[in-house]
Amino acid sequence: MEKITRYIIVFFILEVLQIFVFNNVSAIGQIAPYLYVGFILILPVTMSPTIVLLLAFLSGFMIDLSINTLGVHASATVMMAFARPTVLKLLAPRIGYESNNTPILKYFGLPWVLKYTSVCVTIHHIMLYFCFTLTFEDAGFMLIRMLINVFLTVLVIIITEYFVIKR
Amino acid sequence: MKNLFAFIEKHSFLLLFLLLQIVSFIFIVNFNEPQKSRFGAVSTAFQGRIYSITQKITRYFNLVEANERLVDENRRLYENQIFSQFDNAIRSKVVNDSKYKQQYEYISAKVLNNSTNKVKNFITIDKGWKHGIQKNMSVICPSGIVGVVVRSSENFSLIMTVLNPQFKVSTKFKDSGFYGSLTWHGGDYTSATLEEIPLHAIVNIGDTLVTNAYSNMFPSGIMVGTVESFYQKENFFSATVLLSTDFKRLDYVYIVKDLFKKERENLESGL
Repeated sequence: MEKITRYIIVFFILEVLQIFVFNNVSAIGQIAPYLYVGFILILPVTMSPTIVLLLAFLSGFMIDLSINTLGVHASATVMMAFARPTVLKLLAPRIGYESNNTPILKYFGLPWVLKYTSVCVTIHHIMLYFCFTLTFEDAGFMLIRMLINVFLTVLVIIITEYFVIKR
Repeated sequence: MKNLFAFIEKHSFLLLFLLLQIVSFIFIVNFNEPQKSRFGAVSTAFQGRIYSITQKITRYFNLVEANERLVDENRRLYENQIFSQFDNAIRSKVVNDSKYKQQYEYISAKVLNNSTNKVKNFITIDKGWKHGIQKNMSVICPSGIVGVVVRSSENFSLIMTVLNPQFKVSTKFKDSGFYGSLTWHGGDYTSATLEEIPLHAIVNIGDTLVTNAYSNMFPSGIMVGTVESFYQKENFFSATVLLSTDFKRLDYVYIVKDLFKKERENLESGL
């Protein structure tokens, strides 16, 4: 019960941070770190994927409501949540997930978390940028912008997790 | 019903994912201006393609009607052609004001039966004496001559085509005016032989051959074919003629009704 409360608090903190801080740092065009996807990434491995899907839709949709891009973030986050079980299966460490089922820096170390976060965030961003434009025209420019954004988002998520460990 | 629930339960993850994506996309294309117009453009293109496909399919259904209309129109155009008019110029001062008087009328007919590979070839058409068809009327099609009516019943007529050794028609070179007699000696349905071309005639391969009025059968100037090759035979040239009519593809033909035939026959029989 305590764990659930903690997740709910994390959820709201991340949403608020995203809406009021990170959405406003878009200094270079549409580039902004999307910290809120970190919430889906840190959910327990054993959690029902169906619930993860619903949570992903909810978190994406709240961002959409706040910046008036109805459906775009919801679609991207749902896509990421859909891919998450497969990614976890592919990246499963030798010891498996039995001992610790929360995929965070504290338990799995930097290399693993970096891989896991990068793959998931890339999937999220591909869908996100596709939904923004609904076309594959000008794909080269879009790809560069997307990769910069992926880098930024991964960086912000890892830094956040790092500070959580320290505390 | 039980199976349906089992299916939904088994694939709940995938189905929920698809449902959420569909909901997201409905939001995307309905509430975001750039995406909306982008989606609008794509769906319009898609609709256009679907429409053109259905158009292509439904077009076949009124093909018969369109064909009949075209044939009728052709018939009218033939009647207005200059070679269908009898030149009345000299008498016009005396008889009436018109320079031209109708000489040929055309009756359109559909080919019901056709043969090209027998020794004597005939075709059957769906018009008979009820429609005004009589023996010895000539038959043409848009690409050239076809033959001559040999027999007609109330609703059908039998036509002896060019591909029949008994068929003979006077044919001239369109440019030089020399003429010969066209016959068919069996075999290939695409070519016939033009005989009795005088030796002083200038014959070139590729020359166009048209009908002339000497045989009192076809209107003058109907396309017959082109010279494929020629050779000397006794005191005349003979030429192999590539027929312009494709007898394998005959569909609609026109029967030529010569309004002055009787008059000319009466006159010439007095000789």
